[in-house]
Amino acid sequence: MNLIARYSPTATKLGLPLVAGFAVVAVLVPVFYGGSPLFTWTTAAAWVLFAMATSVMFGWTGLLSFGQAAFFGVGAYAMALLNTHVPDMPGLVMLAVGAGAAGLLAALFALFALRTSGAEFAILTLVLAQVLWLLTYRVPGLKGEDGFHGLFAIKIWNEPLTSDLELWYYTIAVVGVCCWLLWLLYRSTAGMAMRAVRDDPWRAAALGINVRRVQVGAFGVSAAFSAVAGALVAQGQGVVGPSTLAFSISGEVLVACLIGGMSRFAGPMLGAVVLIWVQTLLSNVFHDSNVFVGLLLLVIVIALPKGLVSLPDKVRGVRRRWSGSPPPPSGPASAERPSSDGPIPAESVR
Amino acid sequence: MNDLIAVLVAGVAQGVPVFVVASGLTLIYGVLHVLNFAHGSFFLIGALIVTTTLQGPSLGAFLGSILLAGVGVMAIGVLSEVLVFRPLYKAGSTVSFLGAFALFLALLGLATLVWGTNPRTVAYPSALDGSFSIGGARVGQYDLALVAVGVVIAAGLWLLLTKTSLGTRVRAVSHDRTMALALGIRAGQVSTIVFGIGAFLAGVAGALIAPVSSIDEGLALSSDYMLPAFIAIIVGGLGSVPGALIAAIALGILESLSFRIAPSLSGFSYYLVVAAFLMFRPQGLLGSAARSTAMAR
Amino acid sequence: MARPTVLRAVAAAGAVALALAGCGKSEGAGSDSDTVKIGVVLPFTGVQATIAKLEGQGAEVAAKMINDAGGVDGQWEIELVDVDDQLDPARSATVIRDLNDQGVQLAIGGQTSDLCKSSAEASQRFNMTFIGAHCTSPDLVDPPITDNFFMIGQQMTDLAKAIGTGLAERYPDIETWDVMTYDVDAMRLSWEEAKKAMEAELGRPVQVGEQYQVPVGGTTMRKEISGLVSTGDKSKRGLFLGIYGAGTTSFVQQAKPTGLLDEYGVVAQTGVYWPTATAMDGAAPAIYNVHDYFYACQDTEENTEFVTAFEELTGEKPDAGAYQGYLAIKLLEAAIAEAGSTDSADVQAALEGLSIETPMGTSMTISADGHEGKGGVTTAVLAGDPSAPQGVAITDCGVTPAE
Repeated sequence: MNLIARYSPTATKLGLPLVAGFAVVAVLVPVFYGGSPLFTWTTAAAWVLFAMATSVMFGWTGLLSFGQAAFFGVGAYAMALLNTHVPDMPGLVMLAVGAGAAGLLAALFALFALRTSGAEFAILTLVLAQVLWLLTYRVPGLKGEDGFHGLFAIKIWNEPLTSDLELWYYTIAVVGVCCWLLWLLYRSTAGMAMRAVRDDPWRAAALGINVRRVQVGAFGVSAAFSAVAGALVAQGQGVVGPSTLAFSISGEVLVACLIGGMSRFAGPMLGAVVLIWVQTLLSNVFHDSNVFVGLLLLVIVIALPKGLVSLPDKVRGVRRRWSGSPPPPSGPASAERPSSDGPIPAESVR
Repeated sequence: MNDLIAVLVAGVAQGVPVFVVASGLTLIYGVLHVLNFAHGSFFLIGALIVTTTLQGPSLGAFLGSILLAGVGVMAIGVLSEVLVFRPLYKAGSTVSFLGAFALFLALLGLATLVWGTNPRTVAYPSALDGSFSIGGARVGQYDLALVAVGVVIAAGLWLLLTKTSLGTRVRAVSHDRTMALALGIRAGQVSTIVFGIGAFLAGVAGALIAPVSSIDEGLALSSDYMLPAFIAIIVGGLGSVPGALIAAIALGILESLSFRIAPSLSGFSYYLVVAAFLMFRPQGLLGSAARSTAMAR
Repeated sequence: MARPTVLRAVAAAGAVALALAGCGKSEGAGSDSDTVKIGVVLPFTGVQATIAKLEGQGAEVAAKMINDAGGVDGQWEIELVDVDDQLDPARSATVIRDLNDQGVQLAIGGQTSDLCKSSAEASQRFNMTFIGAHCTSPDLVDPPITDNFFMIGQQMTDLAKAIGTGLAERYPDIETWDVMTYDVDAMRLSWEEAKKAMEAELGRPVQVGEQYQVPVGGTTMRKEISGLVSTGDKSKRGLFLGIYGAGTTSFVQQAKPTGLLDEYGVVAQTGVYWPTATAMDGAAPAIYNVHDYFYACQDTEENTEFVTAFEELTGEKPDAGAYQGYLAIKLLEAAIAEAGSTDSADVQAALEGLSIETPMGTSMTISADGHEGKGGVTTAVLAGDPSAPQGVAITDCGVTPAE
């Protein structure tokens, strides 16, 4: 697979492997899955986008948010409100409007919340989600705990989705395009500025990066894509209610990011898929899966702080140490090495 | 006038449990520089321990249960510090915070495994089951006892931090960990002790609110206790126990007042205050300006 | 650094996909000709697990009684399939699909209005019939949110009307009402409706004293209690509570030392009180409550049978939730018998306009267009009494049949 990278850097830069990967997954999943598991994959796809969006802020820029549900919920509610008041609007436009609304809200919020940092900032985002949750009850147009329904009927462009299979293709397509946009951002100078701010805000400032502007921007982008994810989940379920703003949503997306690991672009994607499937499979076996998710996260934070994506390197490191050879070079260089010994089936790459 | 007294009493009675929760949080933050998100689980477990251990309506039994809750949660706290936080200190405060979050989820899950999800209740100790009048306002005996407990805890913490050798060591580690180590203070040990005290306070807080609340997993992140406690320590200044006291009581009274004057704002007043505060004083009431502004650009 | 990463992630996702392929594509297994599968979608875990368990047991008792009598129409044996929606609309969308994968075409459940909505939306995809047994929001019916959805929980407007009329008849001397509700439309409306009914019965306007709205999920009510205490003499005042669950528990606990609840001429509640009352071990304050059903208020042969069978199974008395679960199965039985088929579309057609006799001694009719089942409501005083079954005595019953 590194052949592509080596001989066609432009293709990688443009994110072609990413797009190809999404296309392969989009085609393969319905071959193997139908019924309820296909729907779980659809949910997982939306969560892949949500985790990626969260990673823009958390993994790339180093801002910890405990209130991502706020933006997830804004996306869902925006779609529900638009569907109620402008039922003829195409669903894709609704997605864009919701994303814009969430991005704007996030940027405004960040302007004053970024006077704090670290844990205080995280608590403030938690408070934001809580305030929005309260508002769904206080503002009559938001219908309190009854919430909204009928989101299946939204026309994507001309026609509504009529089956779970169509829902899958639609969801994975939107998620794929959004992740591709995020990839382009990741590779751009703005993306590099974000990582510089994360690694050392002082040095970034000294290099002439406007730290505050980068942070506000990252927060806004993160919120906008989180809103798209929220709207996709809402369309999948057909309903929107206050539970889209619950803390458990904010918590779970962080868990997804941490499980996958944020040192690589694709870590959160892996984390989201693993989280959704672990939850679904566990809740069929055990009734309360909370404790397992908590313990899993605890193990990862302590023993595998870079998440599951770092597992191959870690395993390789242990193997090397046992065979007496020097440890592999750490950092970016290690990822450049040809890694034919990774536990990755080659067929899905060709 | 009667009304004003009633409003003040209701506000203080609401602020005191929030202070007890917040005091543990802010103490831990001051020394370890970890915002212990798992405090909510500690708080819930404190209340749950009371539902299991409380035997009979006597005041003695109730005090015994409170102590058991405090000690039980302290044990969990010390274990968590040693097993979870100690390996993470070097990795920085964000990783520690995430460790605390993981611990929060794990303990919450364990608590529901042990106690189930069914909401529980606890009766008042019979000696505190009444009320009396202050200037025409009726005040519950239990609420007044809560206030007394709050005063005791505030005073006890103040004495501990300023008058004992442990307090001196705690302040030294809080001020400059490296320097404290150089002076021969065992910072690791101090951290464990402080974490234990903080967890003890969370357990006691949970036990104290057991008779006045429905006890279920919602308590771990309750908008009546935990969120106000987080807000109180931010408004009061992270790491400052007196700041947490002032902020918790003031927020309680403010919420109580806003409920009477502008009912539509009730439930929001906390949030408005914290927003306004951060605009003008991001380091909080009694926080040190240097630390907060260092990162806030 | 990230060049191979994308490929790797994609490959990993592919690997996960393949690894999970064992979980496999489901086959829409058709049900046997002599059994009919009915899904029971309830939050069997979480804070409402106890309530959900009773609801599920109500359905179980109905199924057992029908099967013991030879099955539906003497032809089909009922097989219940329990699934857990965990009180989460996202989860309910998944479990409805699980039911469809198992070939289940008829389902009941739905603890709250958002769960009813998401279950209805998901089951519509497969034209599965879904009876919302426990949700009560008028927003869900007439017209129904989806064609396959029916709701048999009695609506807040009817409950409020019945409690208002009952209060005016029983406590005509109450002059002023203090009101405390959750900050939710349904509960706010419940007071408005009850007030209207009171005024119609009394022929005079009703005074409103203090009126508070508590945030949903709020469990601290000191401010409200201190406000209620300060209103002075309460012998001619009533307290109207539009709260439920943890809110009721916390309110009762926090108000207890003030003696507030004993001083009021009457305390009435439109939210569910039975689970709170039974949890308080005989110490529950007396509250005039309204719900679909209280087991001690219904004096019919069918009710006696139901209560006996329920006690045999669970050792407890059935609550309103258990009754709703029972009724939902009985409605499906009647609909299948009338349709002569277990096919979802036939059952839906039969449910429209269907009418059955209930253990309450009233009849429940499902409206053909609105899909709501109206079956009458019951009012009663629930009071802690250590000698009564489960520590709660039920007195002063009144049954209001559907209009």
